[in-house]
Formats: sequence, C-alpha cells, structure tokens
Amino acid sequence: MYEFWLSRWELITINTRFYVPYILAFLALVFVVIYVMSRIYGIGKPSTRRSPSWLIFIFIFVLLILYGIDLTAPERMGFAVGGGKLVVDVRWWGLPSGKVYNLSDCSLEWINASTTRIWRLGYGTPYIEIGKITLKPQEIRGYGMVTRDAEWILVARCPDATYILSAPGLNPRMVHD
Amino acid sequence: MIRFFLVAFGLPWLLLPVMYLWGVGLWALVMMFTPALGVIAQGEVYRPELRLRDFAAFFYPLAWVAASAAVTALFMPPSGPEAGIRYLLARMVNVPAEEVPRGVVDAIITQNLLVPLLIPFAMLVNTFFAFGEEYGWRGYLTPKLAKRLGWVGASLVVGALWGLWHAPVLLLGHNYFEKFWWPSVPLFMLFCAASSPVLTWVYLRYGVWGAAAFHGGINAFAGIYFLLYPPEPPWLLNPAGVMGTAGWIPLTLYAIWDIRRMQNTGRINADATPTPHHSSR
Repeated sequence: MYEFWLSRWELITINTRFYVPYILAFLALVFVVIYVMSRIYGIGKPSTRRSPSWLIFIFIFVLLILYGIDLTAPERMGFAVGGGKLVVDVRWWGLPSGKVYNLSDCSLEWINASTTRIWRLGYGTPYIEIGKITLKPQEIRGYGMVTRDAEWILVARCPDATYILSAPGLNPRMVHD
Repeated sequence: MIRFFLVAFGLPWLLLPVMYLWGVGLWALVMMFTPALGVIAQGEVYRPELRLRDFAAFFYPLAWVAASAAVTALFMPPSGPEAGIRYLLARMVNVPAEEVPRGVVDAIITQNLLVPLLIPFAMLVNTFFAFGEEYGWRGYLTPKLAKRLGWVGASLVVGALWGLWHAPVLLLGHNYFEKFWWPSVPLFMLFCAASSPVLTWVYLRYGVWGAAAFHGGINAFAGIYFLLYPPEPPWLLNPAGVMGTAGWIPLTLYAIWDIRRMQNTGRINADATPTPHHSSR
C-alpha cells in the first residue's frame, strides 16, 4: 500500500524552499535599482526614507502572487494505491475528493518519469503539478497529481476518469504490497 | 578611487557563493549595478542626461555581430541556426545535443522570427541594466584614468578591468558554458579590452545612456552569432570568444582614430573632464 498526502501547510513550506532564492534575488534587485536611481536622479527626496515602504509594498505583492493560489489549496490532499484499492482525495483543479475505486475496475499503466514530459493545465510549481495533465510523447491525458522528483508515474484508467499520479517512492511493486 | 574598486569588485565576489548555490539568474542583474554603487560609495555621483537619440546606439552592435560573422566566415561557412540552437538547448537541459527533439528546435527557430517584435522591450530592459555598469566604467572610471593615460589608454585599461570584474559569473559558466574554466577570465578580459574603445567612443558621442544603450545592444544581439555558428569550441566560435573579439578590431580601430581626431580638433576637453553629456551634482 502506498499513500501520499500533502497538507496545505506542507505545500507552502515546500514551495518556499523553491521560491526563496528568487524572492531574495528579486528583492535585492529592486532595492539596488531603487537605491541607485534615487541617489543619481534624486527621485523622491530623501530617497532612503522612501525605499523601505516601496520594498514592503513590493514584498507583499510578490508574496500574494506566489502564495495566493497556495492558500486556496485543500487542507489535505493526496492519493493511496494498493490493497486492491485506489483512493483519490484532492478536491482541487478538477480532481475529486474521497473517490475510491477497486483496482480491478481500473487498468494500470506505469510510465518511467524520465521518458515523458508533463504538460499541465492547473496548478504547478517546481515540486508538484495538479490538474489536467498530458504526458508526451505518450499522449496520455487525464487528471492528476504528480511530483517532479518521482521516478514512476501511474496512469490509472478507471470507469469514470483517467488519473495520472506520482509521488516520491511510488513504484509498480507498491500496488501489490 | 579605492572605495569605487572595493564596492564594484568586492560585491560581485560576495555574491559568488549565492550565485553558485542558487544560480546566476537575477543576481547577475544585481551585479550589473555594482559599478554604479561603487561611484555612489566613492561620493562622486553625477547625473547623466537621458535623451531619446542616445538609444540609437542600441543598434550599433549589429555591426560588431556582422564583423564577427564575417571574420568567422573567412575560416568556415555558416552552419545555419539548427546546430547553434541545438547546442545551447542541450547545455541548458543537460542532454546530448543530438537528443534535443527536432520539434523543439523548429519551434525556437520560428520564435526567433518573432524576435524583431520584441526589440523595443529588449532595448529598454537591456539599456536600463547596462546603465548600472556604464555609469561606473565609462561615466566614472574612464574619464578619471583618461587624465593620466589618455582616452585610448584608459579605454584599454578599463576594458581589461571590466573583463576581470566579470570573473565571478565567468567562473560559474557565463559566456563560455564551462564552470570554473579559468581561461574564461583572460579571454573575456581580451574581449572587453577590444570592445572598450568603441564603448568610450559611444560615450564621448552619446554620453552614459548612449554607452548603456550600446552595451545593452551587445547583450541583446550577441546571440545572433549562434544562429550562424554553434559555439564549438566555445573559446573560438563564440561572440565572447576569439571570433567575437576579432570582430571588434575594425570597429575599435575606427573608434581609436575618431577619438584621436576629436582630441586633435578639441572636441574632447583637454583635461578629460566628462563631456557636456552629463553634469556634476
């Protein structure tokens, strides 16, 4: 049995790990540009007193852009596969909540992540993609939740939907354990 | 000048571990403002005038790209855009060049046809960030050194220093694709020394913003070379390599001739004070 669950807070924490270098670089750039140009052209004297308020405004704006969507994520989302069952519980970007399938009703296919490119319509960060997923060149379409560091991608064609799922450590053996 | 050098050269080295860990990216743009920060630290802030006509200099580096391609053509025929794009993409995604899908290469070639539409945007962005450098190199340091070395001598010295200043990003693979490949530093010093008289000439004609536009043009148009020749080996077939450096020679010779002519006709102040293009604060 394999389970992968992610809380909203974990999603934000993991994303922050990826965002921090960009946020810091962006803020450093904004600060340096404002400082240099205000010192040279004396825009808004005294320039040094204006810079912090601008920086705070830009900082909040950047945070809202980065985390605005994260905050709409469900409190807990994920999937479980094995023991004859597939559970999909995401409730975000078109994926269902609390859906349980008998694995015998679904056809399963395993794709090695290194052999495919993931195209996504929905939520995406350097860590995870959630929403309508297309795998190319296999041309497999469905709704899914896939992490970038996974080795295997499970394609489950169930009676009412096709799910594309992956997470760290998920592999074909897990389904039978 | 000591504070200028400490700040302009010291900050990029402080940024080196950050860029090593997190990638060069936006940090390189921060680094481009360190020469301007050096001038501010030195307490010799001046206010260059910005005029629309200065932006004309943005297009002058096309002559350099053409000269570099012409010099290269003396030794080998152009191989067309596919090889260069394939090479650069392969470097970006860390796969062998022959494994880059044909469709991706074709898509990028098609995108390149749309590039002219982006020229106004590229001109503004590249000029703005290059201003951070030119404010220090051409607007401050070159006139200072010109008092002792003359404009041509100062240009060559500033060019070499300007190339050396790039060392932190060069060691991280900028321009020559290999990380910690030390010859990239002397190679780029040569490149900058070769191009510096032309930048000085642009500065003397158009002021600091003109030099920034020209510098921005170099950054914007250098990639055209890769559409003709893939950078193999990067030290040779590269706008920042031997062929790119050779491409500067005719332009530099003209710039040196014209700078001397301007000096002889008294169009440059004898004491090498900044030209009327900007005024001291």
